[in-house]
Amino acid sequence: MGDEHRSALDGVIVGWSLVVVVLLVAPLLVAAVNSLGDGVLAVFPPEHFSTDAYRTIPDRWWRTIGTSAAVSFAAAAIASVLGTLAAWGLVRGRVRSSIRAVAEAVLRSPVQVPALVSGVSFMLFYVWLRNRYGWNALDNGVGLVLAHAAYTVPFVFAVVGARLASFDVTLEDAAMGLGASRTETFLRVTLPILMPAILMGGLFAFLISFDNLPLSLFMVNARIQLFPIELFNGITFEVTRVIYAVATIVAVATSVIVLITFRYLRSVLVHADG
Amino acid sequence: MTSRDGQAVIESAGPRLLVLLPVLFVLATFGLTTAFFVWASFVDARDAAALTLDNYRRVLGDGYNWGVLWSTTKVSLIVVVVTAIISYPLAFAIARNRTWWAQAFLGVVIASCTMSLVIRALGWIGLLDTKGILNTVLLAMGLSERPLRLLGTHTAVVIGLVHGFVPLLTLTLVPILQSINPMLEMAAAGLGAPRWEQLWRVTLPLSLPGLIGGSFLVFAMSMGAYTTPALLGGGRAIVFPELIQQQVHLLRDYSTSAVLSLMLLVLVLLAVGMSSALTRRRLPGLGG
Amino acid sequence: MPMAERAAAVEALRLTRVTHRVGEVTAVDDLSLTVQDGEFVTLLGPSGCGKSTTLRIIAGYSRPQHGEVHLRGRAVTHLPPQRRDIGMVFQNYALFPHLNVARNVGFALTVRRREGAAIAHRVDEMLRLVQLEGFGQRMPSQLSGGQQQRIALARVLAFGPELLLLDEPLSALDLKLREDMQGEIKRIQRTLGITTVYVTHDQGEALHLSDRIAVMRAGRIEQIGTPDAIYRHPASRFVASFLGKMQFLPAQVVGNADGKHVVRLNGHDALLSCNASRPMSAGERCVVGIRPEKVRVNEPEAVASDKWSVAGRIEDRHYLGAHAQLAVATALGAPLIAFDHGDRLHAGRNVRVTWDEADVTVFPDDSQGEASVPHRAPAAHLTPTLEAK
Repeated sequence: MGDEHRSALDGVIVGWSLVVVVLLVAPLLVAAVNSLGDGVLAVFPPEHFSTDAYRTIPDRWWRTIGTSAAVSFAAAAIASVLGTLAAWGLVRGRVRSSIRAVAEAVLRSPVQVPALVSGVSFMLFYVWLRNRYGWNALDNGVGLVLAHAAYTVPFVFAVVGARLASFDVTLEDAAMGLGASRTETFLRVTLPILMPAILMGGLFAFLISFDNLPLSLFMVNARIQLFPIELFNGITFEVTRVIYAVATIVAVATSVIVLITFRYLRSVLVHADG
Repeated sequence: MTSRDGQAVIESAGPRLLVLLPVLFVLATFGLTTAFFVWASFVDARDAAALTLDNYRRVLGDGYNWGVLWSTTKVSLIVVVVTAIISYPLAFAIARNRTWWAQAFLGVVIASCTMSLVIRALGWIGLLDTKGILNTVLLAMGLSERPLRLLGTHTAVVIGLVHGFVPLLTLTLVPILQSINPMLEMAAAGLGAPRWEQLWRVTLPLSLPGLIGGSFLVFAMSMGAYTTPALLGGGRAIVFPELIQQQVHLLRDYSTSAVLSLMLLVLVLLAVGMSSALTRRRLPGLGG
Repeated sequence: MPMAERAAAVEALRLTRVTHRVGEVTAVDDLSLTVQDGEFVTLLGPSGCGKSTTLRIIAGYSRPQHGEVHLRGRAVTHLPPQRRDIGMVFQNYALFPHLNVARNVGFALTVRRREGAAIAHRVDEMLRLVQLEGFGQRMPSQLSGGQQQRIALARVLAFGPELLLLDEPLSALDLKLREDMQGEIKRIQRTLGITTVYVTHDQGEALHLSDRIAVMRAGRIEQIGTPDAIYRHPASRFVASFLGKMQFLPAQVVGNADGKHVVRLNGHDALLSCNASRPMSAGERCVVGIRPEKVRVNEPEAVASDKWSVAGRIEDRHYLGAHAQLAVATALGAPLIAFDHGDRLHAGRNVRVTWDEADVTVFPDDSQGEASVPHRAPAAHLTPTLEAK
């Protein structure tokens, strides 16, 4: 551990880290601070302390958050299933290594392409589809969900794949030796142990999708409005306290969900030493 | 992973086929759309039925595009260096300490990864604006006579991007630094090296491949970043992805946007390829 | 089935000419083994000798290319593990981390759709058997190594299997705990009377626990017999040196008399009449194997003049607590290792070394120490009591 090994340099490193960590959190603090004040525009320092901004959040913000949540949830669900299947197939199945390399590359690719480029290409594709076949994937939201699902598959694949790779296969041997059929072994032993990883991958997928602006930028319209884009537009137009309030609420909610899930998942993962 | 012997009483061909479905899905969505926009880049802007190289000649011949690409590259290089300098000590502190505060640092880093880019940028706007918190404090403390004009400059873009990438690079570096045995530093100490030389001559070189690999990744992400530069660059400090967006939204010039996208894609994939080659990070249990 | 009927039934386990290849390597080579009801048989050997693979074949996790496995007369070679009614304890215990102790122990019964109350009752019974009552609600990660091991055992005994297999179950435990657990396992096995096949590389463990030991090397059984038989009449140099210590002195066969071989040790005139691991003819070079504890070292005056002995000098003496270990230089070859329970024999003394001819086995002089005949021959040659269990 090197405790005996402390020097001034180590102290400097820790001090540096502290500063960095504070800076990492700073924008959130700024948003919170700027949301609490009087007046419409967010000026610092505020004349009076006030939570007015929180009380006057227009409905459309909640609608937008709801739409984004729905889209991201659907995308994450699809990505979780697909990513898990892929991880299972590649880690457990016996696949020729050339095919395996290709499959892995394909499954990792969505993340490596800049989201903006993906956004453009999806949009172009859907427009062409609409002109050619009449199916408007842009209007019914399906196009958006599919794009987000494809984009987040790599995350689920990585998380579940890593968990599967470290999975102790003798647990399944033991279950079968005790009389469980292969299906039962999967349902009673493999899946419960795998579930935290799947949930974590799904959560990643949800958060990444929820916040993803460039991917959705060209696919929103009058009917479908997504939160990050609305926020973006609001900022470029005029930065009001309401905007800071909405941002703070979402950021805090997200962080809380993440921390709770991590705490729970980590305790389950610690126990599941398989 | 314990391997079962070749007789495979237990395994079947089932799992193998499962992977086909997701791969097909990704190919159908991403593959198709990418192929599509590659095709779109060759489509004649005037006559949708014809294919031409005109788009490429036009875009690649326009000095403005190269100018933006170059300034984006410069920004990205700066971002990479700054991010690496900031992240390394943080990752080191987390990797080498089993204390409660090291865990807290890690928690903040992880939570920070999940923070929305837009909200981050919003926070920085509040901080860096001419009437923002930073300027207010500086003026109040008499450290400056006039407010600093930070928003709308490349500086603000760098700050925003660095803030976004530090958590990612840190999380990449932590396992790498953890895998370097502290005993090596102690050995170096026993041979007479002061603390900074222990790190400089032992730890840093050992972690270098991972650091460089991670940096290539940061470079790729920085080149492709849209949200942060759009918000913090204020329309004046433009990066390449914004160029693409303008073509689509403002000019409705899909062909040009396709060519520009292809340029960006090639660059990014090159950088990602370098990163993979350096880190060679594959999931254990997956061959290759 | 009542005990008497069970005893009269077919053997509990029979392996017939089992061969298993993994790629280029033959892990199990034409192996045959019979285990009687209620017996505790240990497969003993160094890493890679095929003992674990054999166990997996018995359990059904591996299918051999040749040969058959019969459980109580029933051919099970092609049955999957869940249909074999065998309980196997793995080296890493493989306790289900997401289930508490009670659910782990009751798993086999849950899978067999027994009633909740019946399961709870049986779980309590098993926990009492392994002396971990009250541990039902704990999670595996909260247990110590020894406790985990006992729960793994309880889990596998809960459904009353016909055969118990243990794959190096104690290798992860420290010495003291290992000895305690050896006693536990033996006690439980005796209480239940369950046929057991045990795998280990630790010869002390094998000697302590087993009714019979099968010493394995390179996929084959070199020798199988009671611990005593194997220890005192090893069939080959390999078996002799794997169980306990044995030292080998070069010698030459002079002839045969009264069913024993007469040999002359190099560097000495005396003729010794000893058992041999296989028949040898006059003129053949051989080695004489003697265990340290059978080497007697005496002050010259204390040896009767008509008893065979050889002159020696104590080169070294190591204190080992319970006794001291001596290295005695003689004309016979390398220094002989012997034990001294007194404290009169110190380094530098001239002594006389002797032993009983009955405590010695003669082996052929193969440089690798391997039996030069297939494994069946020594088994037939030695210990007539082998089959009379």
